[in-house]
Amino acid sequence: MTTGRYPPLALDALREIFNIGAHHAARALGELLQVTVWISVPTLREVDFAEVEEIVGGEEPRVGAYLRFQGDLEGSFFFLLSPRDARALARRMTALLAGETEAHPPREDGEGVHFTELEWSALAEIGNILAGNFVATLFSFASLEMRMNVPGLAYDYALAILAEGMLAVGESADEILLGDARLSAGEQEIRGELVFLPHPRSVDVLLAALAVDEE
Amino acid sequence: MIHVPIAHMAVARPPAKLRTTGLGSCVGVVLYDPWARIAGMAHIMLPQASHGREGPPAKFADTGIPELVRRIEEAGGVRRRLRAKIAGGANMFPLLSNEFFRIGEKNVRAVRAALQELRIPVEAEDVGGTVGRTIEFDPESGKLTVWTVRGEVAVF
Repeated sequence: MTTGRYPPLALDALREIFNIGAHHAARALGELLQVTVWISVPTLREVDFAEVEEIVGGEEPRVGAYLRFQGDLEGSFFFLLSPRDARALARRMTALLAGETEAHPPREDGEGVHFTELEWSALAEIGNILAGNFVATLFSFASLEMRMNVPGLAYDYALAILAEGMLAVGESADEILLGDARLSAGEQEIRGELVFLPHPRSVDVLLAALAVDEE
Repeated sequence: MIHVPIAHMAVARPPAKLRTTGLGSCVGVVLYDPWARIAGMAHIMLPQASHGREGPPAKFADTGIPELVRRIEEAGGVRRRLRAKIAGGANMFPLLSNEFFRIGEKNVRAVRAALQELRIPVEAEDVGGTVGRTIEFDPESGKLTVWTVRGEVAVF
């Protein structure tokens, strides 16, 4: 924990927004995959860049969906999965699309780094729905102008993926708010991580929208 | 092994090695004095520091590289003997490539410009592309090893 730019009350309010956004995202994932999704109570903390690396791991391989939103509110949203869980999730979705009621269990074949085109599209769609639902929550809270792009998807080191969100705030901040929620889906215990990196400007906007008194 | 976190820098001499992980759009810069066997590594995030803001110097190419030179000199390295090896500057999400997302290319350009200004030759580089990199430098051999998440390894 570093500087403490935000008072605890403000952090609590922001955590509540992140909490609701993460729950909306998790529910959307559950509907899409027709499975029960559990989500842990998200944490939101102010950390410096090096701490982000300690928390997410510098060279953990991850499949990550990345959504950047801009406008009155700016920031990044990520959904991270281990390659094995990403493939299990993709198979679940492609099986559903093919009309199969039971998803095949994930096949173990070594590194687990290969994805078919169909699996990759399924993951992109999952990322799309999670990110869209999360950001829509921010929209409805703040009633402000916001643009969001289609999410990108990458298979790479966790830090290389998350750094894209850190770079976007890096010019004006050395610390960021890191929102972090873990979810697990279905009997196969697929675990994912939702990460929210708001721009410091946006944090102030959100706090004003919530009418949190910073005194 | 000395780990260099994102936006940080470190200096080492044998038998210590320098390592930084998960370089995406960021650029890992290694400067070394092969004669004194002193090396420095920085994990640089962005091209330029904005005016009137203090931050960790290693975060930016324009402040990080001169500071890395200073620290190597402080450790006994000699500026005119310094060589550079750089890696990173990928485009992690090529389908989203608008002005902002080409930050990797901008980082590489800014690093090259800062090195040129200090007259430090770039001996090797592994930059661009769409994959992240983890790098390790051995001041003993002067070799830079580069890994990708898919297990590829290259030595420069």
